[in-house]
Amino acid sequence: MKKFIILVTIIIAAFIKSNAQAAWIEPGPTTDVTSVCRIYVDLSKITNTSLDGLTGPFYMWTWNPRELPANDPNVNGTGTQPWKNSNDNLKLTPDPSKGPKVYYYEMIPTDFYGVNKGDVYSKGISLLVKPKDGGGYGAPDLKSEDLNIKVNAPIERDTIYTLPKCAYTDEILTIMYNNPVERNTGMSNLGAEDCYLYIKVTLSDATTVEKASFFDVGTVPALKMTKITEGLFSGQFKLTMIPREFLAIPNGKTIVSAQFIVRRKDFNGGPDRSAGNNDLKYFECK
Amino acid sequence: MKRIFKFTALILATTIIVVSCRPKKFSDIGDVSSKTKGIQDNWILSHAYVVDEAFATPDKLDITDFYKTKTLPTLKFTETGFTALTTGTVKNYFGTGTGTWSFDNTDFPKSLYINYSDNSKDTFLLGSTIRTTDLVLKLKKTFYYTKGTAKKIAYSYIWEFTRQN
Repeated sequence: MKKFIILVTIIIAAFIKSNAQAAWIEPGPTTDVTSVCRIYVDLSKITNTSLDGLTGPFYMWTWNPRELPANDPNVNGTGTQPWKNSNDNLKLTPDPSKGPKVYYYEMIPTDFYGVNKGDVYSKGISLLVKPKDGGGYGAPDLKSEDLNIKVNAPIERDTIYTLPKCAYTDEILTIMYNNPVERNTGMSNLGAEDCYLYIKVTLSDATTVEKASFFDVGTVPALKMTKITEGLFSGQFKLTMIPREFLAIPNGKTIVSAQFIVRRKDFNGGPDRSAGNNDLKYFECK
Repeated sequence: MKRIFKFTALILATTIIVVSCRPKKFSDIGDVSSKTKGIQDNWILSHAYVVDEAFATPDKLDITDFYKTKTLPTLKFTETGFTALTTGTVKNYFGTGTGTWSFDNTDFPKSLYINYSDNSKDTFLLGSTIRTTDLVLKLKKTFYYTKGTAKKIAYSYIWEFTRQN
């Protein structure tokens, strides 16, 4: 009985391993799905045997994060029996450098599926591989099993970040301070009344503006950040503003970059400020 | 006599049980509630959110407190007319503040179109249905930016207005 259990465990583990390697996305392990990516499939790792002996060409048939409608140029199949007539746009390309039965499809996932990147990260990419004529209609189906690829989002936010990331001089902007992930242990578990923001911006004419000098920040109520006590951002601090108004930026000039430092109300040295200088250079979304 | 009484009582009880168990007939639910009438009122901002569409998982941040530092914007919809009072608010997102309005679909609207007095146009997504009984009008507006030749989604605002009686 013990041997039987071990054998079953090994078989299950082997199945999971082989299935996990049958399809993947590159670049990885994190992927910017708004850029060019490759969906890879290794047909030597799939478990369905109906494609055994076939040499291609092979086609992708995909439905997640979104199944494309009949009028889309990248719809899975065309005609009255789409399963028997895969779309030539979805033909896979062999990549012998990765293996004799490895194929890929190149796409920008958000463009290909017509979704936002949150959909790709939350739903992943689901596909199967088939020849142009996938059989069926009374004949056996020719296809791989369903292959599900989990797509990991890049870690995009620093300890101090702007929300939205796309920041404009004349738009509402919130500076966020993610205190729970602060690297400087002296700033851990910052109290609700103890969080102040130093902000210095460089303008389009190369001049700089700051609301207060770093050492005066703790005496300026407008620079006090508000602690968020519930929801998705719980434990973080925020300060919302329209930068031009908040920093009295003259008309005709815009912010090119900004530096943010968070500190305690009373500053007595390094442990009382956030780590790093947190330069943000993506004002005006360029 | 006693048996007749018992028999009658049994019949009566059975009848009551059977009748009470009969399914009620569905009554007509009536006409579709008018959304064009539902929106015709005065509205004042009660909640505001920013959604960072550029991130992998768009996060919604409540920025109502910021709006409350100044005058809250109000909207007024008449049969075809639109007025937004945004003087003194943190920022105006409603063009010239006057114009006409329409829905993409009068029975099941998803978008609200505004034609401002200077002939500029705006589109807001409706965040929920807006019948005469609904007390909250949810509007969403998404902003984009251009990177190279590509149009990229940036962020959205969601405004919730409360009906003013």
